[in-house]
Amino acid sequence: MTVTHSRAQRAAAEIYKILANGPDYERVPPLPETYWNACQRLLRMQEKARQRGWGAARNRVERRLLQVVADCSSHLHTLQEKLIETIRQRRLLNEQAIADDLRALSAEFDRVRIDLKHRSIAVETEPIVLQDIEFGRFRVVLNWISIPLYRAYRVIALAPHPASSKPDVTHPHVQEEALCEGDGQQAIRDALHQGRILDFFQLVRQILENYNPHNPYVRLEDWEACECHDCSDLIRDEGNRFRCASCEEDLCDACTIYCHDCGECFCADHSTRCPCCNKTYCCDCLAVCQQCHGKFCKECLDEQTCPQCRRATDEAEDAVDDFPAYDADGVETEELQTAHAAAAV
Amino acid sequence: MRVLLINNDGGGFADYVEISPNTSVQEFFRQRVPGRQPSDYLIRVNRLPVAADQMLQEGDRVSITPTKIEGGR
Ligand SMILES: [Zn+2]
Ligand SMILES: [Zn+2]
Ligand SMILES: [Zn+2]
Ligand SMILES: [Zn+2]
Ligand SMILES: [Zn+2]
Repeated sequence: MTVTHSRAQRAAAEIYKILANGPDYERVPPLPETYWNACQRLLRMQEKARQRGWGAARNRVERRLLQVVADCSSHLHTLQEKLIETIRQRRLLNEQAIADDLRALSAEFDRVRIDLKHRSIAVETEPIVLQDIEFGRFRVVLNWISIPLYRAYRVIALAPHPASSKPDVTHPHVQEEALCEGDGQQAIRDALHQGRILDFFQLVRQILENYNPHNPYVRLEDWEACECHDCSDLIRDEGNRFRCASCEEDLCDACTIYCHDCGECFCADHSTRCPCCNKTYCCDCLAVCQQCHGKFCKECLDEQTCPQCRRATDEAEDAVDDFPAYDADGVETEELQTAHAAAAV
Repeated sequence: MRVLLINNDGGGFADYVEISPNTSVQEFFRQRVPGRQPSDYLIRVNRLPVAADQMLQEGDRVSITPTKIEGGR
């Protein structure tokens, strides 16, 4: 797709206008007038102390003066650096050169589109392949209105093959459509601020065509590895990958919890232990004790009662059985009377 | 004579530089990016790819962009 002359010209005029104003952060900071004035005041005080022979006061004033002079010069130093940086960056192309850059894009990239309405320029890369992993083509969209701001462009995967563990990472150096420029950061910034749009797109493409194994969002060797939902470790080996039968999240070998009833695998959120036998179960396989309302495995429950509640019931029944209830005359025995008295308390 | 050199390597650099007449693209690259392989760079003259032995002309715009730039995270 070639870029028409008039379209390139109109876009270039707008880009030039935006860049000529310069980004906000290029504004040179004000002179350190306050510090300067403080220096002058302290110098007058120092002179007065000297004339009157006030040794201690003079020492104090001089120490303070030294501090303020240091602050003042550090401000001037910052200002100097800022100016150097600004002058270095402000080699802005003229409008015609920007238009030439835009027209030359078609010779470098497959699909070039200048959208005057949305103030954007988009190009497409060739399909990107890094160490045999295919990432497809990327569309790089530059919004020229945003050049003076922080994030002026997006890198969009057209046939995304994201990392299994991070769906928003579509390239080892692209997350949420933002390229981490790494070594290309300064060159990209300069190219954008100087209106060298062709260089900008070339730089972005060159970063996309390379892989820096020391600092990727996701390493190429981990591209297909998924993240364990519970411990966040990468599961590199398919044989160590499990899935919670309840929430279907991926789990590593170490985090997978086996239910001793249904035999399925579960995550920590969807499994628990039976407080009686301490075996692991899924939440659905436990049942409620009718007496204490605690949750137990079915093996530990007997007639919907947990062992502890059963024991308590049995002991109570045994206690009643142990007492000879009535004597031959049908009168309550002494033991039973005592037991009743105790129960009443 | 003068050409505009845009070096996109590292910190970036764009300025007019003085060269002697009859300097080829290859020679110019050797002078400006010593010790590096031209194959590791995209070299464009007036925005177009060129042959290494092409002679530079007054006012040419030469851009040098590394082919291997390492991204980060
Ligand atoms: Zn885990
Ligand atoms: Zn789960
Ligand atoms: Zn279960
Ligand atoms: Zn149990
Ligand atoms: Zn119970």
